[in-house]
Amino acid sequence: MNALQTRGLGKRYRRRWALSECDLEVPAGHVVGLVGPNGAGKSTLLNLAAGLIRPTAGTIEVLGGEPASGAQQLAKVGFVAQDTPTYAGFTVAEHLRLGARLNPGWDQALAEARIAELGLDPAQKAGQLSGGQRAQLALCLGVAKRPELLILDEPVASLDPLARRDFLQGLMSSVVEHELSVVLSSHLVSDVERVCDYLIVMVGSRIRVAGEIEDLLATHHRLVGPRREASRLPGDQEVIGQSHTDRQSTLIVRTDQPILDPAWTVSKLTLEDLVLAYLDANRRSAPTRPALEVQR
Amino acid sequence: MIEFHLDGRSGVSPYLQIVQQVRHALRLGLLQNGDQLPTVKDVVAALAINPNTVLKAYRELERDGLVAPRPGVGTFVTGALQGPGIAVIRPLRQELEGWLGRARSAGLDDESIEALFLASFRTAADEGVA
Amino acid sequence: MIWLSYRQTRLQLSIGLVTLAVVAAGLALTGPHLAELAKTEKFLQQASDGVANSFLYVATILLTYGLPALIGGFWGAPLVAREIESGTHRLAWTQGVSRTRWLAFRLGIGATAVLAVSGLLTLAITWWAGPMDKAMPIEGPTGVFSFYRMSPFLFGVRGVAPIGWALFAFALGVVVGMLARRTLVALGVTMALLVVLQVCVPMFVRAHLAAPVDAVVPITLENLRGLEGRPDGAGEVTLETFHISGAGPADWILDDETVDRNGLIPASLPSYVSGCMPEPGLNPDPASSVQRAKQACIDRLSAEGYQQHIIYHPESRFWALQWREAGLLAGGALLLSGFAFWRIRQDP
Repeated sequence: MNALQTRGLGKRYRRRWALSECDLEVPAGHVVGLVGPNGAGKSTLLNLAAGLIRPTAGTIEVLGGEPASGAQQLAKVGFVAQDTPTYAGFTVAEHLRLGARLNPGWDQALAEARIAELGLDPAQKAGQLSGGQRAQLALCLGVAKRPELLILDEPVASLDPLARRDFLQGLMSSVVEHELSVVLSSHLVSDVERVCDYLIVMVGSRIRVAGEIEDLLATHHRLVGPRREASRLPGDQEVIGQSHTDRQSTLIVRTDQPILDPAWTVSKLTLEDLVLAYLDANRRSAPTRPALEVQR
Repeated sequence: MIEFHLDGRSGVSPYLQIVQQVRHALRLGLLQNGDQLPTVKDVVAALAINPNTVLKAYRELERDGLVAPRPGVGTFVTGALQGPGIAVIRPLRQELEGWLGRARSAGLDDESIEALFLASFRTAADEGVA
Repeated sequence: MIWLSYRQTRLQLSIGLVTLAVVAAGLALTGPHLAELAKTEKFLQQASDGVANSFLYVATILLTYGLPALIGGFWGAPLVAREIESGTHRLAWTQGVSRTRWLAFRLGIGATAVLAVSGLLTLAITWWAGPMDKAMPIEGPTGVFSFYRMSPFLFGVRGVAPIGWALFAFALGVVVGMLARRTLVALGVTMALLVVLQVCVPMFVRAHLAAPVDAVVPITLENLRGLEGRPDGAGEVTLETFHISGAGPADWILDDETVDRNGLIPASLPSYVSGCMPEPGLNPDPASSVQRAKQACIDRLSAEGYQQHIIYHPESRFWALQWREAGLLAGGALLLSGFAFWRIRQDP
């Protein structure tokens, strides 16, 4: 079963498309990293998946069902929203009680154990918690619900490095213990690099690339060699990024085939390089985009 | 029991780093037959990495016959790395140290020595493959 | 969900209950005495001598008028608006309870609390003010007790209408909150809308809740209330119409005009009619010469065929109108709730 499947998915706010022509097929059992700059449409995609908003175009299925289509579907999907909202006036214990009252599969023992592990005082008001503690509380609510898929929208964005590490440790522990699928977004590749095994890159309201990180790294290469136009490459090599000096060309290409041309020095890309190549490619093509939008 | 650590800047993928660290520990005698490797959960919790990464590393070690999973208990060391013993390594190391001394007295700095070593190592490796 | 709804209404509910308790205590302390006093003569005079009575009478009117704005602004408006404003809707609506169910519980439990608080409050006030309201038609305006319960001013703070208002205000607050998405804005808009409605409903809507009585009645010294004229530009006044107080003093007059023997409205009344007006205030001796002259004037008026055409709601319809107004507002609350259930399914 697919954790997330979309066809032609689009979401428009007034006149602006926050997400358009999104086609995805993410199998369950992955920790999916959704990366892209701020405003790329990551939150829109995740809010659609959580059923908080409805698509303007296309379809989306989460674990085979329409998002938020009923109590059953809601129970299967946990959602930790951006800025990890909690009720400021509720105590930690009251948040757990909220989780218990609202979720049929609630695991109170797990929730209490996590709170104890984090050293949170159950009687403390959520409004007095630090950002990291609040994020942990929100994660705890999401995990103790015992969902099949946990969606996290920029969960570590506002956290300091230590809290970030703690949070991701907690998240990964839950993944092992409960065989969760996870989709988490971030505007930083470094946040997701370690924890994810599947990557989706979004730029300018569109999906640029999606796939298992291992496959992506195996199929993307940096070619350095004497100056040559990208159009003269073999057809199976898709050029993602290029830069030229008068003598030298540096290309980032995607291909399933080995690169045989001896003129190239071929090197591997780090995940960050790979993502940057896609972000960069978008920036270069940006001036033509308004024209395209008029045509559509 | 050993502990893993990850170097984010090495360019070596995390799963390979785990494999290498286990091999290294076996080589140095830190891990011996019958020792338990950290559980996937522990590694994941300690390093905040994807569990599949750990599973993949352990599977690779298993394929090499170095470790074996015992369902419900954990993963245990079952073999030793095949390779030359300490008696073979010692004279080689002494030779290398001698060479390093000569390189230094010839006026090479650390960076030059490293570049020279890597270049020779690569050439030798290429010839070996050919 | 019941717990959550209660937890999120706890503060407002406790403030409501404390208010209710304070008012109820004040009413309970003075009420039984008033009920005793009501059996005696010149009751209103005696009642208005008690400062506590006058104060409570005015205070409960103000409180009942303020109640819808308070409930709409502080119970209704934040219900959804605060969730959206603080982003917690993303927490609440992604638990294992559908949004519709979430809203059903929040609305249901909120409305129950509103019903309880406003119901107890208005019933206590109506009970407490009952002796005064009953004595008004008999003794006439006295001190602060200067309104009949059928009058547009007092009608809205007696009986069951305030319950309807409270429910409507709650639903209105919720809907405005959903649209405004900000607690303070929603609070302000809700209160403003309610004030406008509290003015408009008595002016334009209430009279149409039932068909009024349309009658032509004789003009008498007892029901005569006023005489209206218009300056003719030459320093004289053209007398146009009398005003009377309906079939009984406590009726709610919607329209009254003097008509001639043909049932038509005359361009002007004969000049002698100014002599028919009773002396203000006093309870004059009918046998006195002044009074006899006035009676003769009234008799002449009726002999010439002048009568009064009135449209009014008799006092006996008080409860019928009360239930209709409450029903209308409750219906409005239901419509608003229906909209809320539609809106909650849209993007927040």
